[in-house]
Amino acid sequence: MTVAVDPELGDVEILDYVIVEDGGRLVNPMVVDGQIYGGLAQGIGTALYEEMPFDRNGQPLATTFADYLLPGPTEVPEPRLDHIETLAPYTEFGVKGIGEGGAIAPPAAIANAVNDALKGLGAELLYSPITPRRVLEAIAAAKVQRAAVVTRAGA
Amino acid sequence: MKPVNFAYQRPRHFGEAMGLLADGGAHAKVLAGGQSLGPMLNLRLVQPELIVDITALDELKRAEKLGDHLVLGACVTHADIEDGRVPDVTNGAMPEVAAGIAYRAVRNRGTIGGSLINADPSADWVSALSALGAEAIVRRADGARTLAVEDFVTGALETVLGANELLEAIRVPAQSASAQWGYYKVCRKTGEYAQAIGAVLLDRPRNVFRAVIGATERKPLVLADARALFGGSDDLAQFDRGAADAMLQSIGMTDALDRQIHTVALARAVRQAAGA
Repeated sequence: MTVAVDPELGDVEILDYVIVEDGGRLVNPMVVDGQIYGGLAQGIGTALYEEMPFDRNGQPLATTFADYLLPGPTEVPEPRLDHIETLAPYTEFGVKGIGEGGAIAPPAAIANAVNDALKGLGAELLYSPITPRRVLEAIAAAKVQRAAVVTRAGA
Repeated sequence: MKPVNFAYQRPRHFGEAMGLLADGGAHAKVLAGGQSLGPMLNLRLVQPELIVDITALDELKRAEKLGDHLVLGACVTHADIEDGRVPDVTNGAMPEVAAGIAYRAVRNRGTIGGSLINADPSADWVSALSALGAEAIVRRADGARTLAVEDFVTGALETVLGANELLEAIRVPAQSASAQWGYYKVCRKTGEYAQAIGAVLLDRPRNVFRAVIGATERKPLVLADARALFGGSDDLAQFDRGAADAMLQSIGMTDALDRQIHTVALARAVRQAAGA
């Protein structure tokens, strides 16, 4: 997983994405890949876009798709896929479930990649989605913290 | 949701359209492409009794060079501009802006005039046409008036257009061959409205140096003389982020990160214009 982060605007771009799943015996490999692609798209939504915020009075702030952003074709990269086939001992043919795995990893993988990219600035993000706003806030907070450290060291 | 019931007319003649609008008054709404009006109807943000579809009016689809200007009818689509079906006098600036609007399905139907009268601060033409020094030609039954785009748009979703007036055309001045242009849009994702827009035009032979910061939730910040942002010079390398930041503060943008993305958008437009 490789990302580029724009430190001035907070944008995150996915440059490379590798997925390896262990689905046991792959009964229909094409369907397995399809599940993984779909899961990735959903996971990118969780990691970077989808959020249901509420205001202080409990009013939902994302009530249309103009406010509730979903990844579209231009936001979902083509991942590199590979498979491990470790047969499950408890199922017919050694199959395993593959439907949900794709959606689980992206938030963690993308957040870790973003945090790695921001390491030099001392910024770290702990919440999803990683919006440009949150990236800029983390960078700004890290700047304040560093300034405080420098001041303490100077005093 | 679905819109509330409304009557629909698609007049063939300009006079007929003006008559329908005069009769409809505040209860009539003009449809020039429907790419913003459509969703607004569905969300019932607007509930007109009559929709006057002006896309059958040939006068509004004309595109002609008149002297050192290009006149584009209000119903010229973004795709017409993107694909070069209408002439260009901006060294490719307008086709490039058009190609970046929303996505192709929207560009096929969405029109330059419709976009401008909707006056969404985040829309491309509101900022780009202000930066290009374009003018809006407004028609009413007894005459016409022409005003600068930055005066035509008075605020978020607000224009000077009166009840009996129709935006007829946009008048774009021709640029010199050596004109330098930069346009940068900050978007969450492809096809979304902009979070910030920066545009700059330096055309020395015509003595034009304009800069715009758009998508500010109000009318764009337009500098007809951009030198204040460049230490008083017309040297693109002298761009002063601090001056841009101060201007954004002065128009009431209190959020520092908001000012940052707007300043960065303009800085990148400037870099583009400088050819760096």
